[in-house]
Amino acid sequence: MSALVASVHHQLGEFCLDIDLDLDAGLTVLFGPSAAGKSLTLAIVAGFIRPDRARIVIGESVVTDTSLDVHIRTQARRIGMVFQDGLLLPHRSVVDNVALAVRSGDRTVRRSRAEEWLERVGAQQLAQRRPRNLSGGQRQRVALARALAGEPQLLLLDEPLSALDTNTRVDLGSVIRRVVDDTGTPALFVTHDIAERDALADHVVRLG
Amino acid sequence: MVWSPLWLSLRIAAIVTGIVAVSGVGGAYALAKSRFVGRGILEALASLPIVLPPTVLGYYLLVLMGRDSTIGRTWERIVGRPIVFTVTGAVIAASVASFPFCLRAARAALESVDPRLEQAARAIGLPEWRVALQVTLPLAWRGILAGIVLSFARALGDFGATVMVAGNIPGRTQTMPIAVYDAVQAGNDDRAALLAMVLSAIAVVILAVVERLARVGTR
Repeated sequence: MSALVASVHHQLGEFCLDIDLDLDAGLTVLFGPSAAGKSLTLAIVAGFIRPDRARIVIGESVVTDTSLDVHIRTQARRIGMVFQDGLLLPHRSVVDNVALAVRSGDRTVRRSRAEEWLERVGAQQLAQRRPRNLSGGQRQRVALARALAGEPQLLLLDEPLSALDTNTRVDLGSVIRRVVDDTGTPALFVTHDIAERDALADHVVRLG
Repeated sequence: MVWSPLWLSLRIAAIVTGIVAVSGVGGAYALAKSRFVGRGILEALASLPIVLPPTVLGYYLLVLMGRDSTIGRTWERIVGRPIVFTVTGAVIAASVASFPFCLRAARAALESVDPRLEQAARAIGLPEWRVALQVTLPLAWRGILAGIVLSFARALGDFGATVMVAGNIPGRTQTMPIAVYDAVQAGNDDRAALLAMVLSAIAVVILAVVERLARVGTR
């Protein structure tokens, strides 16, 4: 079974995105220059944008099929997403941010699950902090824990390392690699950086 | 007797603030987050009380809710007394006059929330009502509160619309601003000065609160 099958056609002003993806398990790097439509592809897979024409299947669930007018909302897609700038909720503590993503259990259970996820990405000591008091690398670790805490069927990473300095980038890259292997979560990783691609990819899809 | 207009005004302003907070924030959320036919017209209509002369606004409300109007007659049949020249009338007049202040401030605050944060919240599975209650509203609360405080001030200070709809009945519908006018007309300068000072003091406090909310708002 493929982790993700997506066939998308979407026009956005002058720009036209045409892409066919068939992802296996492991980490697939979606690679290409800026403005090639990589982030747009992720936004469509996540359900943020309704594409003109598309059929998208995550695991066994058809989440988008424009020919049948199917568009499952983002909340029901069982995805985890890491954005370039983290996008942690600024008014909640780190552990709350992660606990919000845990899909089952009462408050105590969700909190302890959140702490486990923070530990897996090496951020357990940050649990009580506010996002604004974190460095870029710490923020992305927490964002990774939050994305995984919902036990997604597919992990989407939108240039998660590009706002970081070189050392932090290497560190976080290996954390991502490790948790993807440990959890067996298929991942689609967007980047324009050749070094990241070569260091992390099981498979590579070129765009643009 | 001296303080009855103050208590009446505070009571009316408190009720109005409750009504306007719920309807204004709700309306602002609908305007900020959804697209529907007639949205522009509805928005313009809701903002009309800001630009209309208050007495004109009061006149329209009087026409709409007077004892000969459909609404006025229906109300009187059910409740047993008219809307006009009652506290109810004063509450309605002040609500309509202050509604747009809350609506506009809340809308600006809601629209200033980064929509990507809301998307991030959807991506971790939060349903729309939790996105609204746990992400959008908490991030916009300062602006929303500033709007609610402003509409309290507007409700407390309304003269034109209130006097048209509720009249000037001492002890029953005479609010603070009307009492100030009444005292001046009657040549009761001491009373006018006292009431004016009390209203001014409340206004200064309100201004300070709004300023503070606006300043700390940018984090």
